[in-house]
Amino acid sequence: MEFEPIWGAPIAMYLFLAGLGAGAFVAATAAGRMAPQAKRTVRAGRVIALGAVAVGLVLLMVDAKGGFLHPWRFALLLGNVQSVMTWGVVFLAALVVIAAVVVVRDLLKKSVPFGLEATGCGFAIAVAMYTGVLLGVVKTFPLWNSAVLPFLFLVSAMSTGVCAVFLFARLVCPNEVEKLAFLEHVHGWLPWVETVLVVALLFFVGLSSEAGAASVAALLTGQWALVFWLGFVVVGLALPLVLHLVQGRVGAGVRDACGAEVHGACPRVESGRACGAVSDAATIVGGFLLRYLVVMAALPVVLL
Amino acid sequence: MIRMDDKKGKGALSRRGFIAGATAIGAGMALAGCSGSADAEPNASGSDSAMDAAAAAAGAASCCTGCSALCAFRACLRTAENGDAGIGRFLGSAAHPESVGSLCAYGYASAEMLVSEASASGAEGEAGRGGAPLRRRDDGSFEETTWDDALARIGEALAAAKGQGRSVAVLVDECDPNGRYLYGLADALGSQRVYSYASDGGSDARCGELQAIGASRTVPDVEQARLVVVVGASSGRMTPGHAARLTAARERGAVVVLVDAMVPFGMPAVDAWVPVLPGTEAALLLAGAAALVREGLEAEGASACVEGLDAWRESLASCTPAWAARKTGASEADVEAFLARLCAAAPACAIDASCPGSLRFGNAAETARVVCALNALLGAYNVAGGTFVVPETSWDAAARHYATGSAEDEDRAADGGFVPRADGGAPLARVEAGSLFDLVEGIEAGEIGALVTGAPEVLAWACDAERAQRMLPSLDVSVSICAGQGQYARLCDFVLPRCSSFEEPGLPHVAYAQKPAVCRSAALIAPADDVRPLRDVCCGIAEAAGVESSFAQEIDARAEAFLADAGLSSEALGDSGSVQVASLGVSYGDAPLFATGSGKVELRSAACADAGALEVCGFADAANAAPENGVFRLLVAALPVTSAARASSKAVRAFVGKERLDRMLINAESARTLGIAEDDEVVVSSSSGSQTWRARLVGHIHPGAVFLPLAAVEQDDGLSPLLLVEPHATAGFGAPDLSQATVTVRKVGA
Amino acid sequence: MTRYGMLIDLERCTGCLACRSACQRQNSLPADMGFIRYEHEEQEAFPNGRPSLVPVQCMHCEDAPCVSVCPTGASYVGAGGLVAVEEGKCIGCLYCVAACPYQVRVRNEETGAVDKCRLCAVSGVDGSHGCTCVDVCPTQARLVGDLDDPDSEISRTIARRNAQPLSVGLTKAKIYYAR
Ligand SMILES: Nc1nc2c(c(=O)[nH]1)N[C@H]1C(S)=C(S)[C@@H](COP(=O)(O)OP(=O)(O)OC[C@H]3O[C@@H](n4cnc5c(=O)[nH]c(N)nc54)[C@H](O)[C@@H]3O)O[C@H]1N2
Ligand SMILES: Nc1nc2c(c(=O)[nH]1)N[C@H]1C(S)=C(S)[C@@H](COP(=O)(O)OP(=O)(O)OC[C@H]3O[C@@H](n4cnc5c(=O)[nH]c(N)nc54)[C@H](O)[C@@H]3O)O[C@H]1N2
Ligand code: SF4
Ligand code: SF4
Ligand code: SF4
Ligand code: SF4
Ligand code: SF4
Ligand SMILES: [Mo]
Repeated sequence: MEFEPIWGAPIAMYLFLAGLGAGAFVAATAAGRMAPQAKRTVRAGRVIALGAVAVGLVLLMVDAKGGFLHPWRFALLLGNVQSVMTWGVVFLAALVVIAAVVVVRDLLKKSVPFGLEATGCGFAIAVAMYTGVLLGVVKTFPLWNSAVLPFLFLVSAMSTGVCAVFLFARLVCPNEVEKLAFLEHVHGWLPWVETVLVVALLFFVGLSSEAGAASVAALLTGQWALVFWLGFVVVGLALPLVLHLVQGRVGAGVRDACGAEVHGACPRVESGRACGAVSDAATIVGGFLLRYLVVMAALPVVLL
Repeated sequence: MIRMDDKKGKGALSRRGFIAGATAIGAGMALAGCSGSADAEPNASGSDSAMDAAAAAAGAASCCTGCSALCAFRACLRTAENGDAGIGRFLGSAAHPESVGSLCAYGYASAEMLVSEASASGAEGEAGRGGAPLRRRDDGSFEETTWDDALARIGEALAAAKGQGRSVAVLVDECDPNGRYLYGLADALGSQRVYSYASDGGSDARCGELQAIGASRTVPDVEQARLVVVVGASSGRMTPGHAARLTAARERGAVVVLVDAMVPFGMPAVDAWVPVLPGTEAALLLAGAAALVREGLEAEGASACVEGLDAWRESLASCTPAWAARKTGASEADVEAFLARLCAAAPACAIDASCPGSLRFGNAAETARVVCALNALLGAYNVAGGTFVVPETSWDAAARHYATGSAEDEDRAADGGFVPRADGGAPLARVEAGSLFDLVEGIEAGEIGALVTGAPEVLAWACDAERAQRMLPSLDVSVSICAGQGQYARLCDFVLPRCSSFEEPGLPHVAYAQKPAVCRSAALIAPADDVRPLRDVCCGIAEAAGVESSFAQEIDARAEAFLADAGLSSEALGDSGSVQVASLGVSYGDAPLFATGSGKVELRSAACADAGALEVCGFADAANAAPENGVFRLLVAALPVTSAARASSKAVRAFVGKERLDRMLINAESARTLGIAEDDEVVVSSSSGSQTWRARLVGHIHPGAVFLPLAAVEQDDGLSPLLLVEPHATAGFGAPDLSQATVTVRKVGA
Repeated sequence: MTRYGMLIDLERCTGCLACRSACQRQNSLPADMGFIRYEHEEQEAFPNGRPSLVPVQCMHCEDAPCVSVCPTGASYVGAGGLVAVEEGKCIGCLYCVAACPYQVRVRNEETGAVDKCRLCAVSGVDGSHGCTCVDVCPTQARLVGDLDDPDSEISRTIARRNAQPLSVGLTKAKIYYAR
C-alpha cells in the first residue's frame, strides 16, 4: 500500500504553535522576573503565549473533523487518562487558563503572582514536551518513537518562543532588547543544542529499523531533502547561528563606537537589529519546518 | 405495451420502495412488480439462521451483470428498523457454478454503482441516469424529450431506412439476460444483422470451438482432475467459482499449471507457471499432443470420435519440445516438465480455458480448436477429471438462431443442432456473435441504415472514437438503450434511459456446468423516473416502426416453456433465483455430443479454409515480433476490481492507486537492463501513441511482455492502455483482437 | 471467556479484493472508505514470482494502542475482546490512526469519525448484519471464531497450521495468518 501521512500541515502547525506559546510563556516569565523594566516585551510575550496556544488548539479542533462537526464531543476529551493526548489537553487547558489570567491581570495592571507564573511555566514545559511525547509514544513510526523527540521539541519550543518574544521586541520596542541580554545569551545557545538533538534523533532512528532508515533517508536525500536542508538546516539552524555570531560582534562594535544610549540613529545598531530580527524569524520558520518534517516524513514500520 | 405510469420518486431507496419477493416469472408478469412495492420486513436478529431466514423474507433474487458469468445472488433488503433502509448485503447463490456463494470484487464494485445510481447521488461519471429520453441536436448536445416523441421519431427513421433497403443493425450485450428482446426486435424488423459481441468476449474462441465440436459448451472437470492446465487466466475473469475450484483441486492433490504471459492478480496458487508469449499457447498444447502420441498415451476411442485424426497425428511429429520452446518463448526445461506432467496425468487432465483471457486474443480460435483436439486425443471428454461436453439448452439455441426464424431451423435447434445465424464465409465470427468489424464496415458502406444497441461502448473494440464520430451520424438513426451514457452512447441520436438490472426482471439464463444452473433475477427496486425496461423499449420501437411487437410475448412464452420443461417454478428457483438442473447436464461416461456435421470432433474445417484461417487445426504463427531489448508484447487487462470497458469510479481508482495496482508491470530483469527502477516513470509507445506510466518491477511476468491495467487511472487524459492498441480483427474469424500490440518502453528522460 | 478472532489462510487467499468490496457494500461505507487493505509480500524473481496481496484489517489487538491513545474513550475494547469505536464519542483527532501499527483505521469523511473493521462476523451472531468478508471469500480463506475455546474450528486450525499474527509480539493481534 502506498503510505499517505496521517496528519498534515494543520497538526504540524498545532504542535508548533503549542510549543511556541509554551516557550513564549516561559520567556515572558523570565523576562518579567529578570528585567521588569521591559514591560512591553513581557506583556507581548504573555499575549503571544496565549494567542499561539489558543490558535493551535483551534487548529487541532478543526482538524479533528468528528469533533468539528459535533463540538460537544470535545467535552469527552478527558475520557481516557491513559492517553497522552488527554494529558496534553489538560496541560494545554491549564496553560491557556493561566496565560489568560496572567494577561488579564497584566492588562489591568495588577501584579501577577509568582506562584501563578511558576505553575504556568511548569505547564508550559509540560506542553512543550507533550508535543514530542504525543508523537513519541506512537510505535508505528520510528521517526517519532524516540526518547530524543520530546527534548528536541522542548528545546525547539523554547527557542521559537524566545525568538517570538525577541522578534516583537526588536521590531516594536528595540530599546527593551538590551535589557534582555541574559535571555539573548540563552537563546543564542539553543540552536546548538537543537542541532545536537536533531543529529542524535536522526542517528538513532536511522539505525533503529528499516522504516526508520527510510524516514531518515526521505529527510536527508529523498522526498523531503530540499525542505530539510534548505528550509530547516540552512534557514532554521545555520542562519540563526551565523547571524547570532555576526550580530554579537556587530552589537559589540556598536556599543564601543557609539555608546550604550544610542538607538536607531546608528547604522550599525540598525543592522544589528535587522540581523537579530532575521535570525529570530528564521528560527521560528525552522521550528515550524521541524514539526512539519517530523510529521510528514515518518514512515510506518514494515509488517511483512 | 405496458406503461409504467405510476412513477415513484427517484432518489433515496426508502422512497423508491423495494419489490421484495417479486418472484413472478417472465418479464411481462414481473412488470406488475414495478408498481406494487412491498416494503421489506425487518431483519430479525438473534441467531445466524434466524437472521438468514428474516433476510430471505426481505431479500430478492438478482444477478450480477458485471460479466457474462451472470452470477446469481440474493440481495438482502434493510429497513429502517435494522439500520439504514437500503439494499444490504449480497449473498451469492450456492447453486450457481460461477458464484458459489459469493461475488467477485468487480461484481461488488459494479453492483455498488447500481446501488448508488439507484440512490440519490447517482454514479460518478454516468450522467443523466434515470432522466428523460435524450435526443441529440445537430451541435452534438442533447435535449430532453418524451418517450412518445422519441419512439415516434425512431420508428419513422427505422421505417425510412428499411424503405431504402438499408438494414437495421442490432448490437446486443451478451451479459444482458434481456438482450433477447433486441434479437426479437431485429427479427421483427426483418434484420439479419445481429451483433452480440459479447460481454464474455470470447467470440473468437467460441467460433473455433464451434468448428471443432459444434454448439456445445465445454466445462473442465477441475474437481476430479489430476492435472489442471489453466490456459490464460485473467484477474478480470476469475469468477468466484473458478477460484474456488482451482483452490480445492490443488488442496486435493491435483497439480495446477498456468500457461500465460503473466500470473494475474487474484489468481489462485499454482504449482507451476509456464510463461509463454501471448498468442503462442497453442504451440505448447500441440507439443503436448505430440508427446501423448509419442508416449503411446492416446486414448483408445480417439480415432472413432475424431474426424481426420490420422493426418493430424502425423503432422504433430514436428511439434517437438524444442519447437514449442522456440515458439512460446518458454524455456525448454519448462516445456519438458509440462509435457511430463501431462503424460503422467492423462487422461484426467482438465484443460481449463474458461477464462476468456485465453480466448479473446490473437490465435484464440486456433487455440480453442487445439484444446478440442487435445481433449479428444486424451479421451478426456466426459471422463472423470477431463472435460464435460454439455449440450446447449434449447433456450440458448433458440437465441442463437432466432433471427433466422425459419421453421426448418427451429426444428434443427430443437434437436440440439447448430443453426448458424448467418451463412458461412468470412468473417467466421459472424456465425457466433457477429463481427464488429462487419458492423462497422456495413455502416461505412451504407448497407446499414440504423443501429439499435444496448451496449454502445462495445464499438470501442472495432473503431476508435474518431471513426465512430464520423460513422454514427451517417446513419439514418442510431439508438442507445442503456442505463448510462458512455462516450459512444453520446454519439447516438437517441439515448433511451433503461432500467438497471436492479429495476427490471430478467429472462432466465443458464450457467453451464456438469449440472447446469438455471437462474432468473427479479426486479429489486422500483424504477427511477422515466426509465423503462428493455422489453418495453423494444416493443415501443417495433410498434412505432409499424412492425409486430408480439415477439416479446413469444420470448416470454419460450422462457416459460423452457422453465416448465426443466421442471422449474418460482419456488424452485428459490430466493437466490438459481437452481441446479442435473437433467440439463452430463454424467461421467456419457457419450459426448458433438454437434458438428459428422457428429465427431472435426480437425479440418472447410469453413475455416474458406474464411482464410487454418484449414486443419494447428498453430498459426502469429505476428509475434520476438521481443528484444526495450520491445515488449503488450498485455492489457482489467484488475479484479476495475472495469474493462467503463471508467472506474474515483473511489476505485483511489483504492487501486493506494494499493499500487495502477502501475505498469514489467519483469524485474528486463527493467534493470533498461535502467528502469521501481516507481520510475516510463514511456510506453506503440504505433498508435505514447503514454507515461509508473513502473513496478515484478517476477510474475514474462521478460518479453509488459502489463497495463485498464481503468486504473483517470482515462480522460488519454491514459487508457487500449489507445495503444490499433483496433483490428483476427485472421479469418474477424473478432476483435487485443493482443497484437508491440510496445517500446523507456525510462522518462533516458 | 470468549475471545473472538479470525484466521486468514494465505495459501488459499488469492488476493482477489472481493472481501474489501463486499465489506464496503454490506457496511454501506462511503465509496472511498474500506476496512481491508492489502499488503504486498516480497516478490520472488522470475519465474517464481507470484502476485501477492495480503489482506490486512483491524487485528482486534489485546494490547491495542489505538485504545490506549484515544483521548475521548471512543475507542474501547468491547465484549468478546472486540475493539470498537463509538462513533458518537469520536472527535476524529486521528491519534488512533497514527497509533495503529497496521494502518487499518480510516476516517469516515461524512461523519468525521474514525472507523475500522468491526469483526461483524461475530457481532452478526449478536444481531447485527452479519459478516460478508468471511462469507464471500471464494476460496474460504477466512475463519472466524472463539480463540479461547480450544475445540473451536479456528483454534484447531490455528494449532494445526501453526498460524501466527502478522507480526508476532506486536500488540497481541487476534487475526492469525496461516502460510
Ligand atoms: N476501451 C475499451 N473499450 C472496450 C473494452 C475495453 O476493454 N476497453 N472492452 C470491450 C468489452 S469486452 C465489452 S464487453 C464492452 C462493454 O461495453 P458496454 O457493454 O457498453 O459496457 P459498460 O459500459 O460496462 O455497460 C454499458 C452500460 O450498462 C449500464 N449498466 C450496468 N449495469 C446494468 C444493468 O444491470 N442493467 C442495465 N440496463 N444497464 C446496466 C452501465 O451503466 C453502462 O452505461 O466494451 C468493449 N469496449
Ligand atoms: N474486474 C472485471 N472483470 C470483468 C470485466 C470487468 O470490466 N472488470 N469485464 C468482463 C468482460 S465484459 C469481459 S469481456 C471479460 C474479459 O476478460 P478477459 O478476456 O479475461 O480479459 P482481461 O481481463 O482483459 O484479461 C486478459 C488476460 O489475458 C492475458 N493475455 C493477453 N494476451 C494474451 C494471449 O495472447 N494469450 C493468452 N493466453 N493470454 C493473453 C493477459 O495476461 C490477461 O491476463 O472480463 C469480464 N470480467
Ligand atoms: S464473475 Fe464477478 S463480475 Fe462476473 S457475474 Fe460473477 S460476480 Fe459479476
Ligand atoms: S489493529 Fe489497529 S485498530 Fe485494530 S485493535 Fe490493533 S491497533 Fe487498534
Ligand atoms: S480519532 Fe476518534 S477514536 Fe481515534 S483517537 Fe481520536 S477520538 Fe479516539
Ligand atoms: S469482519 Fe465485517 S467489518 Fe470486518 S472486514 Fe469483514 S466484513 Fe468488514
Ligand atoms: S476474498 Fe478471500 S481470497 Fe479474496 S482477497 Fe479476501 S481473503 Fe483473499
Ligand atoms: Mo466484454
